[in-house]
Amino acid sequence: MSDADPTWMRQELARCGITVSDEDLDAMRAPLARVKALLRTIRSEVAEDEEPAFRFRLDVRHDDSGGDHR
Amino acid sequence: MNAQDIAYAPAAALSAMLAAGSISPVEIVDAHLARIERHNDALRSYITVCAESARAAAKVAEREIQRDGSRGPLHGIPIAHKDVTWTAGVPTTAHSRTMIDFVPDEDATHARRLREAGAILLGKANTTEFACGGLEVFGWTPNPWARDRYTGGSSCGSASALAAGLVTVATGSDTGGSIRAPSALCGTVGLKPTYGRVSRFGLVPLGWSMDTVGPMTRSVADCAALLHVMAGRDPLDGSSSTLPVPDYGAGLRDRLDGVLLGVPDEHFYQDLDADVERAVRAALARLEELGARLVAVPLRRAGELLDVGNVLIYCDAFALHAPRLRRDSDGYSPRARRRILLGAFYSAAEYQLASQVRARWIRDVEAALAGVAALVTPTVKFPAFPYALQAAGKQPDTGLNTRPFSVSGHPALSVPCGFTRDGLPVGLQLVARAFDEATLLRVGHAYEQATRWGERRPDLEVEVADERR
Repeated sequence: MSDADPTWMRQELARCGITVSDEDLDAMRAPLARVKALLRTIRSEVAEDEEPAFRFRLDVRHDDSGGDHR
Repeated sequence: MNAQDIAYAPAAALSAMLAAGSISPVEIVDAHLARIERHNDALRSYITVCAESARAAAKVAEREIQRDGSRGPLHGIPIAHKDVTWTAGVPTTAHSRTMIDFVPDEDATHARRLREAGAILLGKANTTEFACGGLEVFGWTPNPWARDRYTGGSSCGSASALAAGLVTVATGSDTGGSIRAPSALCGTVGLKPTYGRVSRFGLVPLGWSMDTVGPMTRSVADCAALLHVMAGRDPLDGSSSTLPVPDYGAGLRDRLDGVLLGVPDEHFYQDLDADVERAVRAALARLEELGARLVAVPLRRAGELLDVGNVLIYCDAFALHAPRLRRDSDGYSPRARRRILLGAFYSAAEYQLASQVRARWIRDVEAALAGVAALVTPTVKFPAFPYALQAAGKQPDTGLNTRPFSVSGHPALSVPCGFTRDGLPVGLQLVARAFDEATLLRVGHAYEQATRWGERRPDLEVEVADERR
């Protein structure tokens, strides 16, 4: 469940000033991983479906590296 | 009319009697308070009962009606608001420890409009924590039709109170099915209006881009009367529409001649409980007998809307709750806390993707509705389920057929359409074009008049006797 790595999840919440228990993290991991996997599947399908203006926005979104945000 | 008949009478009938002087608001309120006293400990429909202020308001309404006549169909009629609704001077808890002492100093816009129309607040109806969590603080709401079963959420108290005759009309909120699912599972009527039709000012929010407030009743005509008062532009809610509010009651008819209804077989009719399928197929046949014509309409990809809808809801919810979670994370019960925290883990790119999927889905629904007056689906794919499943976090998803239309923002009405062999209610969902609630109410009313499923009552006295044994 790399999409739901507990260390990363804890850090994300810590950035927001929220502490979280191990129990809460365990309970959230499976649903989070499932939905993130679904979003990945949908992302490519939506990109193929959509009009050019929207594809441009998807292209920006595909670049999550923080690098080239054309 | 005996006390039980008063408790189950539609607002329209009570209003006519009030106008004729054959009953007083005091009698109506007292009849309900007596039933609440008798049944609320077991049903927990209400978190807060406003007995004293309700009696005082009833006396004022009595004088007003005697002096000036009735102000309209809700004057002197008891109402319950889901406890996510701000009510001036009355606790508004959202079923959360974190809000247990919160007493608003003003009404939500819809509560104010209903109060000004003469409705009398009987109390604040139970809800799941922040309309998304559990029921640990004030207890769960047993289904009046079978007390080991859940009512569905999150407007559980409103539906339960209506089914048990503990109020005449009620309101709820619906972000993914929270009005429609409990209405279906309790055998009552519930309308999720178009996004923007009813102001959300004073609603404890869950997901701002999908939250709606709507009427919950035992009859479609009462639903129309409430919506007429609740709907309309509100300067305090920028998302509320400026479109004029029609007289929803004026369009109610007994026939549906020439009305074209769409049946989206994919997803919505798959994996149905056998008794639910039987009831819904019979309802489709009844609609045809009333003159409607049914056509199959394609509506693909509804299944993916369930998770996509949750991304939108919980990203919104996390943004709203983050300050409170920083201060008092332990004040939340685990289910609400975990659901809301999930919203922290989606990137802006993922939220944007979910928004684009929503835009595509809106186009799909509009295409499906282009040639028909409304779509017809089961509201919930199964009947009320044992609460033990809910408590264990193993409950089935009651939003499978409702959440897609929360994502799209279209109006949707649930009306009773029969019972399972075990005597559990089944609901039929009607979905119309944006801001065409009038068509939903027209179709729902004609079906209701032909079937009268909503007039059956659960036998609460048997349960009381069992509890005393």
